[in-house]
Amino acid sequence: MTGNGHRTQLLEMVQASQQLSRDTNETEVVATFLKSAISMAKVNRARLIGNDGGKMLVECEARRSHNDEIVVSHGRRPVESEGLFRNVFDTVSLTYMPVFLGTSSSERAQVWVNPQPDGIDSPMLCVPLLSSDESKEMLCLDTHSDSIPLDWSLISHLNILSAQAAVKRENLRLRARIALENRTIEEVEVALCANKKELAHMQRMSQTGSWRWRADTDLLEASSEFFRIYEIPCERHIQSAKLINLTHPDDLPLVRIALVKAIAARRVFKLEFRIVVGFGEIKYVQVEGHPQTDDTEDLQYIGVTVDVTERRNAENALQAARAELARAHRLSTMGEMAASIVHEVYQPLTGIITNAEACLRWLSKSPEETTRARDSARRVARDARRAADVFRGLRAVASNSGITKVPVDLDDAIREVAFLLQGELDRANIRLRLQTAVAKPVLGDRTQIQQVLENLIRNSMDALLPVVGTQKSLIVNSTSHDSMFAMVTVQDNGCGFGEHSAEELFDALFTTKPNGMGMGLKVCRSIVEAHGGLLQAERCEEETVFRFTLPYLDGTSVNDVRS
Amino acid sequence: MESSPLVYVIDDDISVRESVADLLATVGLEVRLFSSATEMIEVLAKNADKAAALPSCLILDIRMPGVGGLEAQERLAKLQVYIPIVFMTAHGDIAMTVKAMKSGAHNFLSKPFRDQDMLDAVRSAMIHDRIRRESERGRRELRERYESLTAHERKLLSMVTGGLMNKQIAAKLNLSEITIKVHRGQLMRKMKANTLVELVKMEARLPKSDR
Repeated sequence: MTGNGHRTQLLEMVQASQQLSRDTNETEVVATFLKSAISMAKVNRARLIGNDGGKMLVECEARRSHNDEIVVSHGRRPVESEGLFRNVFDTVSLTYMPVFLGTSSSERAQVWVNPQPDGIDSPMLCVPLLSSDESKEMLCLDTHSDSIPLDWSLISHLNILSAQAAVKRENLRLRARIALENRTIEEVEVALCANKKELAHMQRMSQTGSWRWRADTDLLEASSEFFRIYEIPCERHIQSAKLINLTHPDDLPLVRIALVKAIAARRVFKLEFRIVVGFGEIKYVQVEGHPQTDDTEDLQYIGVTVDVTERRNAENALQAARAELARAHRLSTMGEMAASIVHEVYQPLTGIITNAEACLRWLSKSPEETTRARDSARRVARDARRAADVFRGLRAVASNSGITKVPVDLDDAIREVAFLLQGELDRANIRLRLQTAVAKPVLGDRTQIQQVLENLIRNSMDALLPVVGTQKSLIVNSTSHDSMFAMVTVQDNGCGFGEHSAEELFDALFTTKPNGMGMGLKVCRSIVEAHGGLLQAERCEEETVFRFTLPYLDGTSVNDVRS
Repeated sequence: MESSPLVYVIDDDISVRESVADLLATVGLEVRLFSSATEMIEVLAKNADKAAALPSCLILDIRMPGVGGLEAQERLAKLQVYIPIVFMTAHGDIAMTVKAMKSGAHNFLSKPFRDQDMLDAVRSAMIHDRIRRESERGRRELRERYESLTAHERKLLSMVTGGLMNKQIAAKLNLSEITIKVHRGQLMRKMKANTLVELVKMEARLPKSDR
C-alpha cells in the first residue's frame, strides 16, 4: 500500500498544484486544497480551522458525499468544541507537528495526544498549515477510524500542498492589495490633477504665480501663471538671471541689492518693482519669498509673484487726479489773488493818471491855475506812494506775515514731509534717506518750514528725473549747525542747476524747469529769512546741496539781536 | 437859467474819487463825492422832488464794499430815478459790462481810463440828461394845463381834436354855435395853443390815463 499509495498521493498533489496555479481567488485555493486533502488522505471530511483573534472558527469545510463527490462549503462558523480546538491549535502552531485526536487509547503512543477528547464524533488528524506569516490555521481531517496509522508521507505531502496553497493565497492577497493600491493611486492622481487645475485657475484669477528657487543650482521652478505674468514660455526650470534681466532698468539696482541682502541673511523678502515684458510693456509685480530651512545645507526659497499692474495703474490715476485737482486749486487761488492785486494796484494808478491829466489841464488854462495844478500834483505823489505800499504789503504777505512761531520738532516735521512724498518718491524710483539728528525744538511755523522742505525735495525729485543708469539718491539731513541754529540739508545727485551761479537760483522768475514759475526758491528763501535763518545752494561734484538754518527755541534771544 | 450841472462821483477809493473830481473841475463841473453807494442813494431819495437839485450824471464804481455799482443801479431804477450812469471798474469783464448796459448804463470805463474818455462820457451823459429833463418838463407843464381845464372844456377838447366842427359840436351838446366858439377860445388860451394843429399835437402827448 505504501508504494502504490505514495504514487497516488504524488499524482494527486501534482494535480492539486496545477489546479492551485489556475485558481484566481482565495476561496478557490482553499477549496482545491481541501478537496486534495480529502482525496489524498481518503477521509470523509476536511476542515480549515483558523484562530481569529482567539476565537476558533471553521473557515471552510469539504465533505465527501455518499456518491463520492466532494462538496465544499464556505462560510465561517464556530467549532463544536472551542476549548479542545484551541488546545490543539496552540500545540500544532507551537510544535509544527501534527496532532492526532483519537477515540481509543491505542493510538496514544503514536502521537502526543490530549487527554481523551470530548465533543468530537470521529478521530481527527490536525496538521498545522504553513504560510509566509505565522500560522493562523490548521487542517483537520476526520479519519475513518481510530485504527488508521499515521502516514508520515501523507503528512509531508499535505505540508507541501499547504505551503503551496499558502504561497498562492499570499500571492493572491498581495495581488489584491496591489490592485487596491493601484486604484487608490489612481484616485489620488485624479484628485491631485483636479487640485492642480483648480490651483492654476486660482492663480490665474488672483494673478499670482508661485515659484521655488534653489540656491545651489540657481534655478527656478514656477507655476504657469508665473510664466504668464512674465510673458515667457513655460519651462520646467528657468535661470533666475533670465528673470532678473526682465526687471525694469530703473528698478534693477534696488531689486538686486534687496535680493542679495535677504538671501545672505536667509530672511523673508517682499519687493515691488516693475518688469518689462513682451514688446516693452511695463508691469508692476509684487514678489514675496520665504526661505525654506530644512536639514540640508541647500538654501531654497518659495514664494509668490503677484501682478499688481491694474492696482498700481488705478493708484497712479488716482494720484494724478489728486495732483491735478491740487494744481487747479492752486491756479484758481492764484487767479483770485491776481484779480485782487490788479484791483488794489489799479485804484491808485487810476488816481495817478487822472490827477496828472487834471494837473496838465489846470496848467494849460489861461491864466494858469497853478494852485489847483499844485494840488493835483500833490495827489499824484500821494497816490504813487499808495501804489508802492500795495506792493510792499504783497511782499509782506509772501514773506513773514501770518507766521506764528511756535516750538517745532524739526525731525518730526521732516519725517512727516517724507511720509507725504513717499508714494511719489517710490514711483519716481528715488530712495530718500533721512538722517535726522536735531535734539532740540526750533522756533518757527511748522507748515511754512514743511513748505520749504517739500519745495526743496520736489526740486530734487525734478532734478533726478533725467538720471538713468546710476542709483538716484536723495538725502535729507538735519543736524545742529551751532548752539543757536539747526541746519537741514537736502542733497541729490540729479542734473543740478547747470552753469548758473548758486545765487541766481533765488532770483524771482528764475527757473531751469520747462514749466516752472521761478517762484519756489524765492518764496523758500523769504520764509527761511523770516524765521531768522539762511537758505543757500551749493554744487559740489555730482551733488547739488541746499541747506537752510533755523533758530533753536532757546537761541532766539541771540537771534533777535542779530536781526 | 439853471445852475451849473452837477455830477456825483461814487467810489470807495479816495485816489479815484478825488482825481475824478479834480478832472471834472477843470471843465467847470460841480462835483459831489460819495464814498459809498448807500450814502448817495439816501441823498438822491431825499432830493427826488426837487428836480433842480438832482445831478445830471452819476460816476459809479462797480466794485465797492457793501452795495456795489450794479446793485445801486437796480435800487435807483426802483426809486424811478433815471439819471445817466457812467460805470468805472478795475477789472471789467464782458458779462458785467453787458449787464450794466442792458440796465441802461450810459457808459462803461475801465480803470485806469483816459481823461478825455471820462470827460466825453460825462458830457454825453449830461446832454442825454438835459433832453430827458426837457421832455419831462414839457410833459409836466402840459399836464398842469390840462388839469386846469373844466370838465366841459375837456370834453370840448376831445371833440375838437377828434375833428368835429363847431356846428357839429353845438348840435351834440345842445348849445348855440356862438357859445361853442367862446368856450373854444378859452380852451386854446388855457392850453397855450396858437393853432388847432398845436392843440392836436398837445392832446397826442397827454398821457392816456389823464384823458
